[in-house]
Amino acid sequence: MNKRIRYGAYFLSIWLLQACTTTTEVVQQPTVVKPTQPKPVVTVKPTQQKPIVVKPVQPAPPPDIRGFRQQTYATWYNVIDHGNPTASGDVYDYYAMTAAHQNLPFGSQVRVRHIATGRSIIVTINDRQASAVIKLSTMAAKQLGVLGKANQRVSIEGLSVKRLR
Amino acid sequence: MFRALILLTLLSVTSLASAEIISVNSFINSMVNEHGFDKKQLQQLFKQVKKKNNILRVMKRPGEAKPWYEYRKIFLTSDRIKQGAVFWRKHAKTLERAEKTYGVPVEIIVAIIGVETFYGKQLGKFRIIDALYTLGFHYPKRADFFRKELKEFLLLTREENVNPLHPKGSYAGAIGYGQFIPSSYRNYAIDFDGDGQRNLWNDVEDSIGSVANYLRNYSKSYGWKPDQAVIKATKVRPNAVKALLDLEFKPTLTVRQLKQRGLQFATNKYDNYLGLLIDLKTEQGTLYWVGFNNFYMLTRYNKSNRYAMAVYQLAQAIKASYNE
Repeated sequence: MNKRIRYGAYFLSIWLLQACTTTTEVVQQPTVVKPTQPKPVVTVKPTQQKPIVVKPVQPAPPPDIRGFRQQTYATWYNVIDHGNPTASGDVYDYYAMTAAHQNLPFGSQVRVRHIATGRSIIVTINDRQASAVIKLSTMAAKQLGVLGKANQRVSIEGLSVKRLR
Repeated sequence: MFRALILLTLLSVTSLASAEIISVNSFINSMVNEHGFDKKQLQQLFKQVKKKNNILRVMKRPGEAKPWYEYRKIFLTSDRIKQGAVFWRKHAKTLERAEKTYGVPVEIIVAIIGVETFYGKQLGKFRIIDALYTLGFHYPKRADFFRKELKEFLLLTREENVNPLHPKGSYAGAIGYGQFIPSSYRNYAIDFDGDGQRNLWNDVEDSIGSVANYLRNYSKSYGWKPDQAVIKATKVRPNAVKALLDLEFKPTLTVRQLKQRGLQFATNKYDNYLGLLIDLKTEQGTLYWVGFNNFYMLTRYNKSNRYAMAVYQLAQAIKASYNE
């Protein structure tokens, strides 16, 4: 009995699946595309003509990262990284308030808060980082109070995205 | 023997004093002959001028020889950063007008005034004439420089109709918010508030405009380049460091040319910029930067890489604080 219901359900689902496929096939049948024909020319009196508004081509607005929240660990660059290229094309500077992140867009301004102390800094994301930690410049790590300390929890809060210069 | 030594010391003291009198007299004479000053008036003026021994003591202190990372701590303080944002808010209109007129970013102007006088809070308490006289006649190492500035000061006060005994400034005779030495005042000060007179003694608007004007119109060959980067981190081939640092300290080579000489700069975005190799000592050893034209301009304010870097980094910090 139990088995029969199970089989019944099995076949029912197969039938349903087939029914679905069939329906899809019907929809997907090639439609005959008529060659596009020129629209009939309608003469419009100049007075009736609507003014043509040419919208200026605007660059895509920067992504909104205001809702971004993450808790992770802080790491920092090595002093020998000073002068190395970053993934954004910027050159890494020991003193700049920058950081590498796994996926936040370049130019992201984020507030990084040291959970143990409540101290916070704002850094610009200009580099990539394979793992989920945030990698701070030496000066940023120093100002946050995490430089040289292992396993420091930080929270990241997205603020805005600015164009990198 | 001992007595002879005392006698000798006494002799040398008196001879120094008389040499000084001779040089003050010849200074007065040159002001009379070359610039039409009244001899009696000048003699009268110099009777009221005082030698300041504490200035000579300050000059002997080796404070300027600090490594960059120590020097940096003096200027990159949270108080100086916060006060910079306060100064910015207070004078935003004037500062933005100065940036628009001269192309020098607001944060750079604010940082210079912040480094020089803590936004006008440390204008100096020495009479400028005492400072310039003391250093011009009692500080042989740079006497020529300060005597020339003393001359410029007398010309300036005559032009600006100011009693030369009144203005106060730093121990080195620098004037106002932006600490202009008298020759710079004469060459670069402008009337930026439109009241018909340039006044760096105590007018903050004229001071802001004059700092920007100084950087923009420094000379025929060099001036601030709007929208150009100031400085970027770099690496350099170890065996090329010395030759690159030994180059004349003027931006005459392009970044492309510096790369051919061993600069390992990780981008080609600035290849056509003029550049200089800059080395600074951090807590973790010497690091390198390539300073562009605008970094060089900051060293025209004070001939020191540490000074220029302090202004640049303070400017960035003030900007971040202002935007927050």
